[in-house]
Amino acid sequence: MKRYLTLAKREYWENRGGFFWAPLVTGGIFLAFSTMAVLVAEFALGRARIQLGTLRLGDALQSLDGNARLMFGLGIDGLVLQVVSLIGFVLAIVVFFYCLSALYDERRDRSILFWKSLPVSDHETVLSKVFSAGITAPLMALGAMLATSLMLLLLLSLYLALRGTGLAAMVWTESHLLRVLFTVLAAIPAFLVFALPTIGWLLLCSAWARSKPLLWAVLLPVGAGIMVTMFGLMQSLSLPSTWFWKNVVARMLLGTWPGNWISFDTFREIERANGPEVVLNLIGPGTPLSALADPAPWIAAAAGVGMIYLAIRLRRNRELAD
Amino acid sequence: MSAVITARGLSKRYGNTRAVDHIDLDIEAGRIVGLIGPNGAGKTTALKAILGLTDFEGDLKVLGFDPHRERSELMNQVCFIADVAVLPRWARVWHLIEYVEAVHPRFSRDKCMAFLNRTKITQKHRVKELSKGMVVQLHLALIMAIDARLLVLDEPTLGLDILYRKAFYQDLLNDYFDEGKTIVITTHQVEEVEHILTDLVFIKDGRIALSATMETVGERFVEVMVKPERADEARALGPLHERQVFGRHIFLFDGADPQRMEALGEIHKPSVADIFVATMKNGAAA
Repeated sequence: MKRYLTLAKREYWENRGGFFWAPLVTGGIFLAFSTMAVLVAEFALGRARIQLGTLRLGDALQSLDGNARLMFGLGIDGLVLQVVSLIGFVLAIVVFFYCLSALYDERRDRSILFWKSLPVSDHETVLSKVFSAGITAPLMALGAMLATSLMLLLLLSLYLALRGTGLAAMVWTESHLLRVLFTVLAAIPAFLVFALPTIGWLLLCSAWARSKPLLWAVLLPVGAGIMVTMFGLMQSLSLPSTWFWKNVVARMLLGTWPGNWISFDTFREIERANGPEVVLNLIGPGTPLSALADPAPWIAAAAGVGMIYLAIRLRRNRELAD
Repeated sequence: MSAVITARGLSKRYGNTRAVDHIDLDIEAGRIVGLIGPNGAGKTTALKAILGLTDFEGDLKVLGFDPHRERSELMNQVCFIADVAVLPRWARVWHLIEYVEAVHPRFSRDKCMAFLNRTKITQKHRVKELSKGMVVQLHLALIMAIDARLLVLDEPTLGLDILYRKAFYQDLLNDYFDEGKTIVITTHQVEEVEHILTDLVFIKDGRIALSATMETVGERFVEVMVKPERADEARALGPLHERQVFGRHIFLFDGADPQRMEALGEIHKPSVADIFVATMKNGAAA
């Protein structure tokens, strides 16, 4: 057990910047901008119109009837959702580039000769990288989401307390911070399943490319997509070319995008939604679970597992150039 | 003692070139073997096969394991430094110690710390902050703290200054080696390892040109300094190699009669480097 923990820790040590700092700094920047926005509004625009994302602070400062309370709480949820999606966006980029360099950098700097001098098999090493991309990185991002959200609520209640509105406590009582973050936690299994084809493909490129793994990783699926579209290959299977883009190209490259299990239809509904509560329901814990009822992501995940297997074989059998 | 490495007909082809061409090799436990050959002779390829880093043709057993198929088991008992400066540059010293301790059952943290305490390296240092010589010290400290049965060193001191090179081999001999362990070293710098070797293997064009213990080498090879007027006489005896220094002819003989040699001129014990040069110029001597 300690052995596997150390293999995971080794990935973290190497990628602390991406796994730990990047989400935290993103959250910090969000907080800084939010604080600035409130301060600017406070001094320049007049309190009545202060708005922070979905949160109409100005309204809340004026009336306190039931509906306003509800809107106030949901506005805060909306803000937390913004934090979640922003950090999720950074997570997607971090995991993408992590996988792409995981098996490439060690060959480039020849440190693979050190790693291979120790009794750790290739499958243990590669699987520890899959674990880091699919579990460690999202959990650390979740930590950053939690820290940022807590700071955000703290700053908000501090501001409201300073304004002497008596609303400070409502920041905590009317919002649903835990529910939002639980939604994120519940989405991690879905994240892993949806990310597997991308993790597998990028690790394969990382183990295979002699140089420029990014170029290969992007050009091969996109090039294939263009060919398919140009020659109408999918029509012979009576499928539109977009099927290939959606189910092959996108799954190979964009699988780490958080929320990619949310369907296009749901997205349209989110766009039309006239309140954060609708959005919350649409992306609630049920959504990632129902997305997993569809066989397509599982088939893609199986292909991802196959590519991970190939990456292990490559790391094992590849000759190191002198 | 039991054989640590046994190779029969070991071959490795890259396209049409045979990097290693039907090598037979037996290395016993408790030996320090120098694997010596010019660039491209196949030393590194042979080592890669021994370490399971490449597939190969022929029979090869290392500590009873097939190195390519049973690599993970083998690595519990074998250690290697395949190149200088392969430690990951991002890592801190304590990262490496913690990692090796967790994955290697025969690693001793105390031993490793004892070696490191003799250097200027601290646990907080990152590998990229260390000089090349210090990186080698760190690598050696990690490796020597592992109680492995076979240690393979491929050009371990390449690019280091003389102080580090001397210290490297001294540490290896004083603090690591014992009769239960076996060390295989490849290097260009023959002079530096010659005094610690027990066995010598020369490789040329993928084949073994010479394989002998240092004692036999000492008995077999002899160098005679001959005056010019007697040079033809010496040449008639079939020397391995001839060179001239200050108007005198120096002949290197393999397995010559000592009395005849003494009659020819002044006798020297040739250095391994001289034997190496002669062997490489003349073809197979084994």
